[in-house]
Amino acid sequence: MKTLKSAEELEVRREQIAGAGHREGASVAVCCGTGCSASGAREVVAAFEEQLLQRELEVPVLTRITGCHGFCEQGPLVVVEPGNIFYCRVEPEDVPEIIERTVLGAEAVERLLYVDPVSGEPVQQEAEVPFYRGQKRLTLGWNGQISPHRIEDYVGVGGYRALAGALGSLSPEQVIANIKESGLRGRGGGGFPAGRKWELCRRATGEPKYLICNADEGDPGCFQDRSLLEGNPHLVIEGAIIAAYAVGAAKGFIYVRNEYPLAVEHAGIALVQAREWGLLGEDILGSGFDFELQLTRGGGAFVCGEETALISSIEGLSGEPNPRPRPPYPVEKGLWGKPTLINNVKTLAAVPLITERGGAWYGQIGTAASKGTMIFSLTGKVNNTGLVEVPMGMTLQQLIYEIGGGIPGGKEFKAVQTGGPAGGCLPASKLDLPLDYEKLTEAGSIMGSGGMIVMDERTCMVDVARYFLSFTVDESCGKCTPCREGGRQMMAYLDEITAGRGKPEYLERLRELAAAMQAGSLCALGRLAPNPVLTTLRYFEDEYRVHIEERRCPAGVCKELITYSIDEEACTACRRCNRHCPTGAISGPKKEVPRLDPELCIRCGICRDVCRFDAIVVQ
Amino acid sequence: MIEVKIDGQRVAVAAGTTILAAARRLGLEIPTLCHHEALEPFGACRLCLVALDEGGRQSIVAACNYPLERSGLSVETGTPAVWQARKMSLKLLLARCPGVKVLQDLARQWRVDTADLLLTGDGEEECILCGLCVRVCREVIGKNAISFVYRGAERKVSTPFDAETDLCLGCAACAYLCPTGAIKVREEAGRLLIDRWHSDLEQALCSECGRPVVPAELLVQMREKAAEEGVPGEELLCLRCRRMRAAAAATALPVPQYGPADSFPARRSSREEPDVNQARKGK
Ligand SMILES: Cc1cc2nc3c(=O)[nH]c(=O)nc-3n(C[C@H](O)[C@H](O)[C@H](O)COP(=O)(O)O)c2cc1C
Ligand code: SF4
Ligand code: SF4
Ligand code: SF4
Ligand code: FES
Ligand code: FES
Repeated sequence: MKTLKSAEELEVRREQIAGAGHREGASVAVCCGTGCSASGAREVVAAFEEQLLQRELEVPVLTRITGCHGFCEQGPLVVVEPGNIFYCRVEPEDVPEIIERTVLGAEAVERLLYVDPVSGEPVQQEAEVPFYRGQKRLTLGWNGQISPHRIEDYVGVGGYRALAGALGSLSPEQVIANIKESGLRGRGGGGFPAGRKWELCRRATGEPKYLICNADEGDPGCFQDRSLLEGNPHLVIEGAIIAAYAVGAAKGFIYVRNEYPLAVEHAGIALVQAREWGLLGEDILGSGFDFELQLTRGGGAFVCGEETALISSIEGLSGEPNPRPRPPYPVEKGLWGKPTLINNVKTLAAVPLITERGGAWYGQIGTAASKGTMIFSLTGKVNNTGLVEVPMGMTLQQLIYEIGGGIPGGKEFKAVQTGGPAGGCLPASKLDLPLDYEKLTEAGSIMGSGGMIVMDERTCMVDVARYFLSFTVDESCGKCTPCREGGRQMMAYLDEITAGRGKPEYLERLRELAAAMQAGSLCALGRLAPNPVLTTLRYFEDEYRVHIEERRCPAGVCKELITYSIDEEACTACRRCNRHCPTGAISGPKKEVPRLDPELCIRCGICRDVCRFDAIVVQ
Repeated sequence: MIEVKIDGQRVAVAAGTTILAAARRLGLEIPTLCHHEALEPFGACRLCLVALDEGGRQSIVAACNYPLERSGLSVETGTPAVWQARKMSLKLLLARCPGVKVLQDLARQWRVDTADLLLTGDGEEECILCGLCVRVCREVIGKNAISFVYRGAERKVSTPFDAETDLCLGCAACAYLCPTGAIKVREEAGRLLIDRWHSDLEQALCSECGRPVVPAELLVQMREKAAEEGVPGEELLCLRCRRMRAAAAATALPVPQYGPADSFPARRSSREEPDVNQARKGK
């Protein structure tokens, strides 16, 4: 592969790619992201490749292995072009029929189409699936169109044009001005204006400067960064090179967590390709700008994603996570004491687009102070779960009901936790809240890095607060007193409340502890950790009070406050509960309503989940 | 130089000076538990919290490791919010280490009521995780024999693999700085023991009376260092025998000639010699 020496050579290469090989526009795209691979996508790919080959087509049809489309629960996903026909849960046995009828015959295989759980109707095209219809997939959208390990694919859809443009005709200051104009803010959690951070780093004194792409992604249930790196690594790399040019960084690191082998592999391949093509290294595209970028793999603790802890992890100073006091900020004294720009994967992924299409264009999307799109990981009690990219300013209601398809099983919505375990729990009265950094913060939550967990009426809010808090308490590095001991103390109070031993004054104690953690913790983990407790206290205080004053869990969750029994009217004596109970607490002769022995019952709730007649009663 | 305001008083300091250092220059008292002049600031205990005003932006920061970088900053060391946060840090440390005297004393002094706290450990813990031991061992002794391991509530100071380590010299600097007395140094059958670090060290003996004086390896290293600095090696004497000799010399009894007693490179030159257990503080 000949190294590209200029923007013109890149354009020539792009034309060569467009003219090459396969039947115009015809392809079978199989998602091989982590989710779909786990449900057997590799076998589907093998079946397509083998059977397409066997048919000895005159003009071959391309089998494209793509990254995550965000709808992993429906995987393996297959999209056939032309026609944008969208199949889900495809198995290798389905492949002959897809080739016969869709690839060659241009008709859909009805039984493999996605059925909208709300309307019950099958949907033919990917773009028409309700889950995708309301989205604006500016950064994620490419994932379905390219093979992540083919730089040709990325260049074919316009990749590295933004970089060539920036190097060729913009000064670093102009690149920064453009990002500032776009209003892009950090997508890793803090929401700090990206352009401003770049400017601070550019002005900081000290050589060399470093760039870090933060792909640690510790929020449980979040996989946006993984999907981008896995599905479209060149997008992130292009963003990183532009950022490096803007701030004057000579060397960069992509810090990926160890649990992301596919992301590591794909990013690694992409880095090699970018170097071969002359997009990394010395004299990039003949511009005179040098930049090296490499992967480093991270420790896995949640707090390692915090920027100062991440820096000390790269420096290799401490085996345990070690957040440092700020100031000095990393833009002034970061990696090895040098000015360092740290941005999240999603932040950098937005950069090529903004650079190419202009800050003003990006700035039109979103709200007054929250611009562009944000990728959320929608999980929990919603019909459609997965990664969704939407314009800022969309309401929670739209996201959960229009894209998420609402709450399954006809249950009531109860709350949504935004911003991951250190975010807040918002009630139904906040459903009309627009997704906006400040609006979420005012409501007691955070944008965070885009976690979104929906909860239905069967959720106990005290239990939920305890659950999220237990995560941050476990993940606290333990260095400073308020976070380490305050979190433990809060857990102790919540344990007492959920066990029915709460006292009325505990609520005030929890608030005091929260205030001390927010004010006194060394890093943002400790300052944010009380959020789930504070928001549930704010919006669901009644529920805490019922636990304390009546020793009752209204949602029927807290094990020490509930008993299970069988409603004789509703029970059909099907004995399903009987078979599933892990402790044998349900028994009795056939064809009779079984007996439930409260002594043996461990209140696991399995019987309630398996009963088809709602005959298990929790009190 | 920059000029900042602390509790209404103006003070000029070099840029980068910590709030704590600047406040001390003004004679203002800020409580600390994890700070030591000779060591890198750590910011762990959160007792030194103060209120910072950066041109209208207010926050609570740790005085010991907040560098003052520009003029115009203003600090208040004793606002109600500051006291509330400090007291909570103290309370939380007491919930972990109810038996530690420095904490009890501070609680009495600050009138902190701990009745409503839920104990978060077994009540026996004495280590407040201030990190002074870790830092002195690394930064001053240059040994790195101990470090923090695990995270969250599990965090503790430990030797590598929580086993005996030949990195530990038995210098007891860690025990000397530990504010809570968590590190116990004792002598048994002529050996020096630091149970917390599993250290069990051979001692060098007094050439006069044969009593153990100092861990043998520590002596070797001290002598090497002394030799590098051109200080001649000398006979090892315990404090008592050294005093006796000095007394004998002063009364002009005929004794062999030795160097002056205080040229012996003591473990802390400005401090009184051995009885390591004196280093135990608190309880
Ligand atoms: C406990 C904690 C965990 C964090 N984890 C991540 C993470 O996994 N990924 C990330 O990009 N930022 C994370 N951050 C935010 C980073 O500190 C930093 O603000 C961010 O990487 C900056 O990039 P941005 O401006 O593009 O958001 C975390 C922060 C805290 C306090
Ligand atoms: S709640 Fe669980 S333990 Fe109790 S009867 Fe039902 S299945 Fe068995
Ligand atoms: S006694 Fe051992 S652990 Fe303590 S400071 Fe000396 S060398 Fe380090
Ligand atoms: S042992 Fe003592 S000096 Fe070391 S961290 Fe614990 S309290 Fe601090
Ligand atoms: S991995 Fe296939 S849609 Fe996410
Ligand atoms: S003295 Fe500042 S945090 Fe301990």
